[in-house]
Amino acid sequence: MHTRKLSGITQIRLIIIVAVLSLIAGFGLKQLMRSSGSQPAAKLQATILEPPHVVKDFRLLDHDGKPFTSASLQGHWSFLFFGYTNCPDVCPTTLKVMQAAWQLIPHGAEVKAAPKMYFVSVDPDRDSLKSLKQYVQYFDPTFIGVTGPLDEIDKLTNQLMVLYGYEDKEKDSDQYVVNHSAQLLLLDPRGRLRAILPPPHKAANIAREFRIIRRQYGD
Amino acid sequence: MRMKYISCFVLLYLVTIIVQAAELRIENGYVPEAPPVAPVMAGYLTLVNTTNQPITITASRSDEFKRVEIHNMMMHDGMMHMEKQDRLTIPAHAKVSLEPGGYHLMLINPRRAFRAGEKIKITFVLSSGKQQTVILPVKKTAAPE
Repeated sequence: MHTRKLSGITQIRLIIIVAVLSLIAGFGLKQLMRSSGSQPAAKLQATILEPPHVVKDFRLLDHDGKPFTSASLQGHWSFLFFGYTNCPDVCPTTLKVMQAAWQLIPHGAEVKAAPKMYFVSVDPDRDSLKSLKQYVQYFDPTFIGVTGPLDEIDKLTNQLMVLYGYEDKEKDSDQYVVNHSAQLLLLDPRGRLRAILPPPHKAANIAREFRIIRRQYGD
Repeated sequence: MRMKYISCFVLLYLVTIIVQAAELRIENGYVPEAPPVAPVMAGYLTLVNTTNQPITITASRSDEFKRVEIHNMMMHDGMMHMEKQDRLTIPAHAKVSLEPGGYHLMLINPRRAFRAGEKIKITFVLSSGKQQTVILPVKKTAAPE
């Protein structure tokens, strides 16, 4: 009986020692991960760019006709998706997912770290700013449509590793297909490409990964 | 006796008509509501072939759109590609689903904006020469879960 009681106390001591040691180890590991700048511990579908990729030197227009440049991407996180309004399937589906993700992320004027959602049309011949505005605002009144001359679009897509191309496009024809990348691009508040989210897109996953990335890389 | 033969023929004929009418059944058909300015809409449905023979759709049309096509969506070289299908064959006793991210109806240049609750009539021309009309409801759809 006496011996048992003693061994009980020994066990408790052991447990405390182990607990303290794991706490120290855990803390150390966390510090180590932070200092080495590796990916967040949580498993992400997104590809994180380390270091982030600075995006610069392009001149497009937002759907109100205001300049959309690298300066427009400063001061807030930004999600960018590239598509076109003649796209019946992938673009509307992705915009619905972006809207649902937006609902899951705290936002509003008072939330400093809320992201902005952009839909960049790579089909400026058919997508006027006016129709682009009506198109994106159908999904959410806060969403912003962007387009501009093809050479300026290329300056942006090349930096973001986004691909697109026309098929069967003949002069003066308005019936052609645009092939395009379907990933979502996440830029940090300094306008740097921080993460690439691959399709298929799910709102809950986008919102979750955004929160993890924002926590890891700051507001 | 003669009457009996005639009834037999009539019965057979009726059965044939019923079988023909049901040769291509559709399930879960809908058109997602799109922004009123959208120049194209998508249509989704499952085509079920209840016969012993393959059925091929050779053309599609609707009075409500300038053109109706069947497209397939696929991913290659990191891009989403849409490919027009001139024919779509549904094998005997099989089904083909037109759904987001794969085959879909491409409803080009709507004559007006459609809101959820409306219905869109689409006619498929089959390789047998027959036509089949389907009615798809316009629905407000949520993002995929």
